[in-house]
Amino acid sequence: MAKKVTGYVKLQIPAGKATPAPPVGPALGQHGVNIAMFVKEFNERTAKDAGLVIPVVITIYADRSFSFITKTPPVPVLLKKACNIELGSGKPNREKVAKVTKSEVMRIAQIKMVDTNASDLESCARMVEGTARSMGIVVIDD
Amino acid sequence: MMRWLALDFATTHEAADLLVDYLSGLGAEGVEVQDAQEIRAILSAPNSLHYADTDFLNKLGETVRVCAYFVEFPEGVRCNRKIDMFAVRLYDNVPKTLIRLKDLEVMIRDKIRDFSGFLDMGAGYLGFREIHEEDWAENWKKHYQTIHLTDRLVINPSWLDYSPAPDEIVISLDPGSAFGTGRHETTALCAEFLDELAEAEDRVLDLGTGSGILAIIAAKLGAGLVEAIDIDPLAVEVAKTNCAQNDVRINCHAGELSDALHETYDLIVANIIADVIAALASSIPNRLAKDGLFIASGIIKDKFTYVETAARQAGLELLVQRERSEWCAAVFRRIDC
Repeated sequence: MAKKVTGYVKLQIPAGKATPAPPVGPALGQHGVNIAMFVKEFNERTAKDAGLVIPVVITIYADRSFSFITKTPPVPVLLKKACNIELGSGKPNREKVAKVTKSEVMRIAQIKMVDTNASDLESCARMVEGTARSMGIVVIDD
Repeated sequence: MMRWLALDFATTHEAADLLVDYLSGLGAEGVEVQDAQEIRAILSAPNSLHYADTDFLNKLGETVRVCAYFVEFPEGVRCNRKIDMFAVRLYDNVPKTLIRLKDLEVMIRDKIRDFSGFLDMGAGYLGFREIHEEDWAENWKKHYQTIHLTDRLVINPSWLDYSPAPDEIVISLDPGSAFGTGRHETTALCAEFLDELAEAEDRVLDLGTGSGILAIIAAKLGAGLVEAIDIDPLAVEVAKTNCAQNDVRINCHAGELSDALHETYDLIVANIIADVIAALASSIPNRLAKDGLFIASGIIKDKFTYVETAARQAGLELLVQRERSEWCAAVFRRIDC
């Protein structure tokens, strides 16, 4: 079908637990999206990830039908996984909580490239490094 | 007594993930993000069937907008007790606490200032809005009414009562996660052609069926055999549900034209996009029965000549062309018929 895009929303919501309450209701309601159906399908498709907060991109078409895809986890989540930590540092300037190698940074940058269609891996890697430092994670050479 | 608050931010693409994760970790009930780079990635993906107006893309701009939703009680805003970046886990069982809105705003501003030492955070925190409680589970339905696609074809959402006139054909269809709610010009044009051209006992193939709407219309118009194909398996599931809701027997399956189960059809309908239809054209004549017709829709006006040329070169003759707003649909016949 001719999928003319008239709206786009990305939400970060708990897997398997979406409800019509905010952010789903206000974000999708203004586009006339069938909220009951979105909630049901999102919960079915993400039930296996229950307990995680999942980014989901909803595309709304000219006839108010929609599609959605779940995205790669946010960079801080990928960093925490790579460093095997649950928390970032509350005081990233003073308290360092972990180390991450430059090759890990590149690996995460490559994962994120898929979402953004970025052609420049270097700038994506700089973003990952900046995020790491802001969480109190030290970037080290391999 | 509680109320919903939306905290608004403007940031950059590089800082968006960090900010969103921080807000989720703070205890936001959910976070909404508008990042133009992401929608552009969807539109420009290889083999994308998506299309968007330049106006729509321009409106998105380059600033990433982030909106975090919190619940506020008289004692304060509900947040996670152990505030830090741990959005990835423990979502359900995180101990909660209440923080005064003013204190929360200070905390957020301080954190963004910290972050800006590492990443370009953009304008940062803009302020809060109160979101008025409403019946979100029901209010979206206001956007939908009964639609009369032709004199006798009616699309009716399942939650509305409709008493049809004696010669009317009612299709019960709820808008959902597959294209084809009946609210788009391309669907309406196809429905008109089907209404005029479909004959009893015709064998009909619906390519790119989406919600199944056109296949269901063909079946309700008396087609002898209807097959509906879509490359998207999720759309096939939606189509199957809609067929069951309308009590029609349609063979819905995932695939493309080469996967169609019968050798030839009396009517092939494809409401896709111009590029796909042009690419399909050469395979259509072999799948049309004698006097068989090909209904093509989803063609943006500017691309009609391109589609018609491809169709002619494939051995298809243009019989009728119709336009509605920026869209075209057409009926072709095999030249050798």
